[in-house]
Amino acid sequence: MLAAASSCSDIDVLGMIWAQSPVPDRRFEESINNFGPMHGKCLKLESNEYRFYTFGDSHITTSTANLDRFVADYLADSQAAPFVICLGDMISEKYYPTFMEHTIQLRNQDHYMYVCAGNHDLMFGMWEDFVKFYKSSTYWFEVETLSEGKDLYIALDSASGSLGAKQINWLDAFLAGAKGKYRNIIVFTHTHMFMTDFQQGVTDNYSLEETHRLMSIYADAGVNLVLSGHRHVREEHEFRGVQYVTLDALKEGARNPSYAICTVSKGKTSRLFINL
Amino acid sequence: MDFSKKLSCLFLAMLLALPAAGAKKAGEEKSLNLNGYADSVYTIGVHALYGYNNSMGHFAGADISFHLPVHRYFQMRGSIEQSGRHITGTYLTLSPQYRLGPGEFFIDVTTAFRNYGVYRSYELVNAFTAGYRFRFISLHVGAFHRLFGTTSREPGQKGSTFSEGWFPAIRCMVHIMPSDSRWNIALGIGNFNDYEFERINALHYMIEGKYSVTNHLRIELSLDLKPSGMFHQMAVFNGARVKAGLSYMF
Repeated sequence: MLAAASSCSDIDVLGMIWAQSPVPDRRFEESINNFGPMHGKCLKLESNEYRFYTFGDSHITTSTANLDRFVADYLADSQAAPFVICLGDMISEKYYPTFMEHTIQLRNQDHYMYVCAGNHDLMFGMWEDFVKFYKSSTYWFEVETLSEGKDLYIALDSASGSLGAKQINWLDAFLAGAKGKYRNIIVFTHTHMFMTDFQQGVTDNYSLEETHRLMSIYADAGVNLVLSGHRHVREEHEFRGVQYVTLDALKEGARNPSYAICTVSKGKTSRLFINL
Repeated sequence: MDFSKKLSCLFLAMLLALPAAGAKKAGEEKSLNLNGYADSVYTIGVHALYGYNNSMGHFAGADISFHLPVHRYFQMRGSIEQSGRHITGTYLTLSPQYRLGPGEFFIDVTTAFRNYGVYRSYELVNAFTAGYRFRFISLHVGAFHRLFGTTSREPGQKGSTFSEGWFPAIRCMVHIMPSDSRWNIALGIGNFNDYEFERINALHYMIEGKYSVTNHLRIELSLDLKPSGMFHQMAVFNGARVKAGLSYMF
């Protein structure tokens, strides 16, 4: 029954009562003071329109076929932006080394992989492992286009089904200061905003109060796009001028494994989903 | 159908649902009205509330509630609540009921509206639940639909709505005393209570207590705890709410 109620097959039973990783407020404090080398940076591009690759819920254990396919497809696209975004749940159980090994080509002088923490990345007390590899679960970076200004990307830690009070308040203030300064604002985080069906069992959302507050923050700041994963089923919705896009899972055995190629231009984003 | 028309239909339904005779008066039966358990007396209550959650911070508020057992087979109850400066909520439940075996079978038809004024959004919930009340336990199951909307008049936001569809509602309350006791304490778990219908994955833990000081006056106290991340298997504290007040029974 518990397995049916979980989004994936490995279950942290203790975590259903109390998480084994630190609470969101403490993770946020550590993250905001512990930026990695590419966090808070500005990537300069030679065009006004660009596309980036994104995936989520790879749940890597021993099999990496779909992840390898994603990496190969991205590296073969010479027109793609020099970064990819991973929407969390990179691994199941303790397979960080395997994931890192199979994405090493995405983290060199020519490319970078931005990740956000999913619940499976932090279950069983794996926050320390996440920090060792990725430094921060809350950060931002900019992409500067040739002549149309900058786009802002924000990674949020929603691995606990809540951003936590400190991260929410930081986000509110940060986006209030960013309003009007960017061509596009794109938020990426693991937990999806809405619950629309039971295709992936009983996956968690935010609480209602948090849902309303986040919808308000995003809408008032002019966020264009919120990317998420977690429920393993593709969805695209729009509410109050904000697009909420949830990706399929990349993992093998998922109902419809896929990744997305997002095209970004002035005030507009679009997606192409690549089924595996 | 826009919101004003829905409200008009709701009030019309209230008027049509008031049969002339059959309501019991205070003192004829001494059953206590715990959350999900029938009450056979008219009550009107006032409560103060205090709470905290990750999104709203600390907040205080109040509510006014009523319970009208207008007929032995039909009840109405509702409330209006203000939670801090964030939420104005109201709900109305129409409840046919029928004594069946050792307990009581009931159906709740609920419309709940919550305006998150500070966030310029609202939600409208319509719920259909059925349940059974024993002397010590009540179980409530059903389904509800949620519609998100916005009160913002900004271009690109005005008129925006989003429907989340139909989802289960479930609640189970266990009372430590029989229903006809002057006092009682109930423990419960579920995804809905007297002020909100949460997603099925956001279960509340509830403790409620009531004590009838006289045949007309009852003290009520409740605590509601809402974690987040249970089904992320990363459960953490999200919020809690305590409510205390008085109900006058007549």
